[in-house]
Amino acid sequence: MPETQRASLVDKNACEAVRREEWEVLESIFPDFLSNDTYTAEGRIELVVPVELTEGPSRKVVIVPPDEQAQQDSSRTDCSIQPSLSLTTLPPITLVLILPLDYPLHRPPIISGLHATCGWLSTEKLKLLERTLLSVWEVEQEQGGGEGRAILYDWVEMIRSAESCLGMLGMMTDDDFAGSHPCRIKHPVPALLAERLMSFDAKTRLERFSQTNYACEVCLSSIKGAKCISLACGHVFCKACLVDFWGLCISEGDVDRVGCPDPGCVKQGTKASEEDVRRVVDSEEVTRWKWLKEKKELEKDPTIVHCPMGFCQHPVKKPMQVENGSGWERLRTCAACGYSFCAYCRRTWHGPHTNCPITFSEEFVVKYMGLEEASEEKIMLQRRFGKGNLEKLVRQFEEDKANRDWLDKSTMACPGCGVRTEKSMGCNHMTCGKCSQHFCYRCGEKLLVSDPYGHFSRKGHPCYQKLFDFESVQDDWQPVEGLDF
Amino acid sequence: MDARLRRVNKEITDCKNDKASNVQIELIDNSPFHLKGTFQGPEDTPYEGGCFDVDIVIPEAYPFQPVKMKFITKVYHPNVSSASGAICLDILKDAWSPVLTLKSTLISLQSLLCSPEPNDPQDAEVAKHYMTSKQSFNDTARYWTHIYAGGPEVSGAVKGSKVTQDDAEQDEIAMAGLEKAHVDQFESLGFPRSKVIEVLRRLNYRGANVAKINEDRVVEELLK
Repeated sequence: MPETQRASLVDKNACEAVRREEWEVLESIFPDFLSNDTYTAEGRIELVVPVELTEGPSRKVVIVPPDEQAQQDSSRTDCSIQPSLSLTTLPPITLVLILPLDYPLHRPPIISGLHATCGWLSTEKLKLLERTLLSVWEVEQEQGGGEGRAILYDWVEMIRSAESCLGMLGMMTDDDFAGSHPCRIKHPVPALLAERLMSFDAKTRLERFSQTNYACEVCLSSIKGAKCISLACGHVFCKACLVDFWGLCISEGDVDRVGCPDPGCVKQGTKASEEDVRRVVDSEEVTRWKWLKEKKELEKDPTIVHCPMGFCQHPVKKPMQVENGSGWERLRTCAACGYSFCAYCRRTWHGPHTNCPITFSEEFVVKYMGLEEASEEKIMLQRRFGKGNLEKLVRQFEEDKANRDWLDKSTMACPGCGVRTEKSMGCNHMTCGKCSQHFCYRCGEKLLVSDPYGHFSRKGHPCYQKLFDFESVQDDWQPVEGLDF
Repeated sequence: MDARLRRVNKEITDCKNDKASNVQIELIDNSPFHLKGTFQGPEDTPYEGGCFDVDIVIPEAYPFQPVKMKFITKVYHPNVSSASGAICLDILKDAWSPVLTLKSTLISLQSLLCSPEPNDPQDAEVAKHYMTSKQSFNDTARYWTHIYAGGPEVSGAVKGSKVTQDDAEQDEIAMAGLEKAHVDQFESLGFPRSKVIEVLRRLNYRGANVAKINEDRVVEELLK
C-alpha cells in the first residue's frame, strides 16, 4: 500500500473516531435536538435546535415588514405599531448535515439543508447563518495548523442561545440585552408570523410546564406539571387539590375563598379569575360559582328580595325611580323567571292600590290546629278554604316554627344586615361575613370597631366577662331516651 | 376523604424526620385526627424553658378548613384564654390557607408567644395586666410557665421572701399576678383570702393602677 494511501486511511479512522465521539456527546447533552436515533457511518445528521430567548420570564420580539428596512433606523418608534410579542422561545432551526469521511480534520460538515420552522428567518438570513457557521470551522482549522476539529456542539450552542444566534444575524445588538430594545424579525406578513410564533411559544411553554415536577403544597407531593395548574398569580398546585378545595368552597357557598391557596394570596384576599375557575371545576360548578358571586354582590343591597318561586329564589332589586308611597315600590319582577310579585306579601302582584290579601296569620293556623277533629267549625273552615290548603298551611307553619326555634336557639342575627350566624367555636366577638359589622354573639349588640372588647369588660352588663362561654356542650342536660315516666 | 389522611400522615412523618425544628406531634387516642403538638417556649420571653402542649383536632375538610388548636398547657398570654386555652389567631380563622401545615401553625403559635397582640385579646384580664405593667405581667407569665409548663424556678420578687408554711397561698397570689402585701392588706380587714385575690385580679390592682384604685372601691367590691 502506498504511503499516502495508508496515511489517509489512518486519518479516516481518526476522523471516524472523533465523529462517533461527537455524536455521543450530542446525544447525551441534547437528545431532543437529534432527529436520528443512532449513529450511522454515512454521517447524515439532522439537528433541530430551538432558539431560547431567555432563561427568565419572556422577551420582547417585534416583527417588521421587509420594505420598512430602509426607514428602520429613521423611524424606530414605528415598532410600536408592529406586532410586539413577549416570547420565551423561537421555533427551531433545522440543520441537515452530511459529514464527509474526512470531517472534522480536513473538511467541514456539508450543510445540505437549513431552515427555520414557521419561516421566521428569511433566505438571506439563512445564507448568512450558513456562512457564519462554516467560518467557525475554518477559523478552527487555521488555528489548528491545518486540522479542523469537531464543531457541531459549538454550532448547537451558537444557535440555541438567542444572544449569539440573533446577534450574529444582526437581529439584536448588544445593547438590546442591557436595554429594553426588542429583537427584530423581518417578515412580509407580520401578523401571520406573530400568530405562529405565539402559538409555538405557548406550546413550548406548556410542554416545559407539563414535563417539570412541581411540589404541590396542599397534598405535599411532587406532581408532574401535566397534572398541575399554574394560577394567574403564578402559584402552582396540583389540579386534584384545587378541584377539592374550590369544589368544597363552591358547594358550601363560600365564594370568597375560591382563590389561590397560597397564604400570601389568602391574606390579600385574591380571588380566582373566571378563566382559572373554568380550568379547575366542571361547568355545573362554574355556573354555581358565578351565581353565588352575583348573589353576594346583589345582597350588599338591603332592598333585595328573593323571588318567592321555590325553584327560582333569584335576588330581585327594588325598581329604580319609583316614588315611595305610590304603591309601586312594592312591585318586583324577577329577572330570572319573570314572576311579578309584591315585595311585602310575596304573592302575585296585586296592583299598587290593592292591599295585600289577608294572609293566613299564625293566629289563624293555631286556632285551626286547636279545633277538634270533625268539629262543626273545623269542617266549615275546611269547606271554605279546602282541606288540602289548610293541611298545607299547617305543615308550613310547623316547618316555619321549627326553623324559627332553631334560629332563635342556635344562631344570632347580625345587627347590621340581619344575616343569621351560627358560632361553632371561638370568642363571642363576631365579625359579620356579609356586611363586616362587629357584634356580640351573646346579645346581638353592635360593637365598636375601635374597641370591640370593651363590651365584655363593661361592669354590670350581662356580657361582662363573657368574651368566652366556658360551659361545654356535653354538660348540657339531655333527656335519656326510654326513661319516660 | 383519604386525601386528608394521606396529608396528615405525611405531616406527622415530616415532623418526626425533622430533627432541626423543636416542634413535635404525637397521636392522642390512636386517631391521626386528634393530635398533640408540643413546642418549647421561645427564648428571651417569660415562656422560655417551658414546654407547651397544644390540642389539635383535624376537621373533616382539612386542609381546606383550618385545623382546630387550643393550649392544653395553661398559658398566661393576652391572646390565649387563661381558662380554656382557646387561641385568638387569624390563621386559625379567616386567614387560614390550605398550604399551612400543623408544623407551620405550631410555629406560628410559638411566635405568638413572642409577640402578644394586646389590642386583639382573647383574655381581656390578662391583656389589661399586660398593658398596665409589662414587668408584673412578665413575672406572672414566667410563674405560670414554671408551674404549668415545667419552666425554670422563678427567682426574686414573685416568690416572696418568707415562703415556708403557706406555700400554696403564695402560689395563688403569684398566679393571679398580684403582690402579697396588697392581698395581706385586705385580708387583714377580715375578708377571705380567695375573695381578695379574685377581686384584686378583676380590678387589675397592679402597678400604676394601685394608686388609681381607691381602697373604698376595693372594699365595696369585696362586700358585693
